Amino acid sequence: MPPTSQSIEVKDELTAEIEKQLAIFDEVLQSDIKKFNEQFNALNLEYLVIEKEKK
Amino acid sequence: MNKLYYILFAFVVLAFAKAESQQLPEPPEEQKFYESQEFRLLGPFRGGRSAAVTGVPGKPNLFYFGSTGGGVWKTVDGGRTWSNISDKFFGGSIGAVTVAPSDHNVIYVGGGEKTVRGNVSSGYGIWKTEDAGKTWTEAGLPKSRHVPRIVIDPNDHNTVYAAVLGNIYKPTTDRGIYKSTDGGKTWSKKLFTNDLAGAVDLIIDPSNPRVLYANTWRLQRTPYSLSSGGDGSAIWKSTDYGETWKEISKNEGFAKGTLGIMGITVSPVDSDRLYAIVENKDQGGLYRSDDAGLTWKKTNSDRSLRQRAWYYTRIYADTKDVDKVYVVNVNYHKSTDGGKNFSSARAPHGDHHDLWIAPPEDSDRMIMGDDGGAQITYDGGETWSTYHNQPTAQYYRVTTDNSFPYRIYVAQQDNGTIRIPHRTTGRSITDNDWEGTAGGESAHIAVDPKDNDIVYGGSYGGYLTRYNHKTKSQRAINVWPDNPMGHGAEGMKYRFQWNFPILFSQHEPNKLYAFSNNVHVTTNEGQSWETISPDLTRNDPTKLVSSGGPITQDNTSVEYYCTIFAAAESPINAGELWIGSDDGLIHLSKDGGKNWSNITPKGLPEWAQMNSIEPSRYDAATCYVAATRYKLGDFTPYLYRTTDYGKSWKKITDGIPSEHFSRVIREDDQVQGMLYAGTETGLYISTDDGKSWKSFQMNLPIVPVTDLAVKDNNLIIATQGRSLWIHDDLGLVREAFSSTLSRKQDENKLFKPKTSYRMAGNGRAGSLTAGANHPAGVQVHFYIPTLKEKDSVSLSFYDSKNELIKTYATYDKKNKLKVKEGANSFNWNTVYDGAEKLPGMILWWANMSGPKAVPGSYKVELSVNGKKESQPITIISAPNSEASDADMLAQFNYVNEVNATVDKAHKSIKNIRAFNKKLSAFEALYGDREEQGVKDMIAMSKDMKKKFSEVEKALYQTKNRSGQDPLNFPIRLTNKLAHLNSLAQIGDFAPYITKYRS
Repeated sequence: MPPTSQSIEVKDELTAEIEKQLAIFDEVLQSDIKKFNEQFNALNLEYLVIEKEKK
Repeated sequence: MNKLYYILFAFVVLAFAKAESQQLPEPPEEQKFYESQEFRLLGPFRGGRSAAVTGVPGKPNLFYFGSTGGGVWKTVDGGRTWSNISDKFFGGSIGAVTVAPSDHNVIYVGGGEKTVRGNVSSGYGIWKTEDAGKTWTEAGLPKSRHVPRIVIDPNDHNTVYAAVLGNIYKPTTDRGIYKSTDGGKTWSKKLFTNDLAGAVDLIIDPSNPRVLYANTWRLQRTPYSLSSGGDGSAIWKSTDYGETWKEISKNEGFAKGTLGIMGITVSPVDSDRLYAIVENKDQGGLYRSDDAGLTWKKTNSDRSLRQRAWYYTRIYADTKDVDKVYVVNVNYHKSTDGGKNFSSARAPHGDHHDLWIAPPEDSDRMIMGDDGGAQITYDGGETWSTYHNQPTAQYYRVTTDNSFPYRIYVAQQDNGTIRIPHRTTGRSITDNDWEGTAGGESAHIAVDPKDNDIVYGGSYGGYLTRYNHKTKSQRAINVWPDNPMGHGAEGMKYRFQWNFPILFSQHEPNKLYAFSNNVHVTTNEGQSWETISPDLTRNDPTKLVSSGGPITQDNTSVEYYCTIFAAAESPINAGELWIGSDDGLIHLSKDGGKNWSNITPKGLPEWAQMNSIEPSRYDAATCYVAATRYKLGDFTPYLYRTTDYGKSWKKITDGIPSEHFSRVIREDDQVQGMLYAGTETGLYISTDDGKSWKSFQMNLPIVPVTDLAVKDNNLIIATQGRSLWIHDDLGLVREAFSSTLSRKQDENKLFKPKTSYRMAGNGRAGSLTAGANHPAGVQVHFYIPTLKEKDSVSLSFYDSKNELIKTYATYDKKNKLKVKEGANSFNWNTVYDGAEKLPGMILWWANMSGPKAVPGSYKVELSVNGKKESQPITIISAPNSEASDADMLAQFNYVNEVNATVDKAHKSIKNIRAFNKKLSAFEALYGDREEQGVKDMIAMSKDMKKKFSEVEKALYQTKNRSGQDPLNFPIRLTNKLAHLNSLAQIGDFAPYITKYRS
């Protein structure tokens, strides 16, 4: 049987809400992570280091 | 010296003569191609007759029963479920199952029931296990035919005694009491009365194994009579381990005159206390002896304990109370005052034949064998286990309707008629799937060709009903409603046999035929009948007499003789009627009954019963007949074919063993000359119009095949003791036998899958309580002649645009293809890939699987080490589907859209979790650095984690740890969205019940 009208409506609503969240995630990917990586490189931080022993 | 040789020779013959009657021929070579498609047990699980039951001392949940057609069954859970333990070794009708008292691993089974009713079947000698039923070996007496009792010395499981009733259809010296002292390797006959009286009862005194009691019984069956009693019927006693026997039924106080069947029992509490139930005209009843058989006293003559004596007549002393004794009959009867007075009760089915009572410390624990199977009680009969868990029904004839899924109609011996769908949308085929229909236990059934809900069914006594399934209304429309009960067939206006045929014309949908010794027809639903033939039988007055023998008469119409027993109308020409009688004649009318000619095969011995008749659907002059003379003691198969309207006939039985007597022959509905034959012992197939036959047994148990129907690429098998079986893909078998294939039989081969319906259904086999359903999806069969460990085998499925849907491969852990050398099958569920679910995710009633393929054309490709071949797949919507193809496509797209979003969201969560891990690692590494730049970065990291967390928590309820946590921590977005898939796919998929519990 085909999907009912309401199941399509609810799907569209939920999909929109998910997309909203994914947009936030995308935004973090696009800006925050980008900035973070740039600063990481600017500060010449090392990606691989020997972990300090825990006291 | 000569005498010694003679005796040794006799021993050897008895011990090692092969139970030839049960040996199946080797299957044809072609089976290697098609054996991946096994027969499917449809059920129903409503048991058939058992006359042999036993429990095991000290094992309260362990019981065994022998079915009268379907081998030996075992329960280890007190009768909640039963498993067959004799398949692959032997089968057929069972008369005795006895566990050795000194070693419970040792069990002896005697073939051939004691219940010698109209549909009685013979057995295949004695079989023995030494591992409680895991494996079996032949243990002698291959010609015993009927072994109603086996007893074993309580101290030595190699000393064993058998009561042999023998061939019930003709005189033989094979009858009597036999003894073996080497565990069944050799047997010697210790008691013989005459060649018409065999042994029917045998007991050993548990307190003193030197003492045995045996009953001999003069019993003969013919096609037109049963005779119980007369010279040779007696009770015997041995006091020397069965070596010599003395009659004790002439002792003081015992019934005088002609004796019939008798049952005997000795009290385990008191060796002197015997009870006997006696068939005798004027002095029948219950007799008691208090001096081990020296003198007798009649204590009860109630007819309800001994009515229809030949069918019942068994008696059991209680293991604890010397005055307590049970007698089985239609009801079972219990006395607690030494056999004077009885109270009556019924196990769940009634018509009781055997009873076993546990040792004294547990004597309320019993197992009963009756016409419905076996049932167990732990409270002395207050409550019993069910018999609706035994797929041992006995069916007479099978027919089908034209609904979707089409239904199968059968009449069950001592139960009723049913109709059952050949497949459903459920997980298995259960009691809820079938329903009662027209007629009674011995019916031929005919479905109105214009309306699947109008059904006609016969039964004994000429009973004939029309049943309307829509309104549940029923009407009796007997052709001649003069009830014959208790009368012989002499002087009847019309003789309606126990199994009188009825059928609808294939050309005139209003025309319903019914058959006595004449042909009757109605065109107004039974409102009025017209007789359109003369008597088409031999009408021999010497065979139209009352049945029962010298003591008790028993006329139910099962012995009514000189009747029409098989009939059919040509599928090609209207009004061409082929009529077979049970007394050896075949008649043909080419003009709807105006003129009749006798076309009986000349070579066929006299008095053969025409059991089924099959005019060809390809050639009007061709017809096939399955005849049998087993009720004359002749177990030869008789299959005949004419190609000239019966002017000449050819016997076509090559390849069928000499004693697998024929019951039915049917023609394939696609290939001319392809035939199926059902016999007493096996199923056969011919691809050369009957010139030669090959075994078509595969996983079918050894059980009488009573009828066959070919329908829509299926072969339906009605059995007498193992319910209904079906072969789901005759196309595969046809292709396996095709000449092109046999030329290149050592190559890999992918067979063209049969057309699939898009419908639900779970194909799980092996349930102990329900029939196996046809699986949903596409059944792919392929053949791999040789397979090495490192070989790569895959099956890939493509849509009509040749886009890959899915691959299953031997090397793919997630989508594993299991392959073995030879014939393989794979059930493609037609489900596309869906959305990703992350490890440990707890979701409430969410479905992330992909949609099912919509109706259309697809392709399957087999690849073996890179060598490929493919076959087309056709999926069509079920004819009863309410959804259009466009609806299904909408659903398909909807499910894909939902999955795409859910998948994206879940993959994002996966990324979030990976980022979080790295950010946490960063914080751990650089958290104590003083530089402002690094401090800023730590702040950025914390901020990102916060944002991530908010997103993740919006998408997914991260607090959920166990299945019902979602009731405490509300479900989030992807769960809600994926739930829409659960809803959307209801109708094609079963709901996800595990997630739906609350």
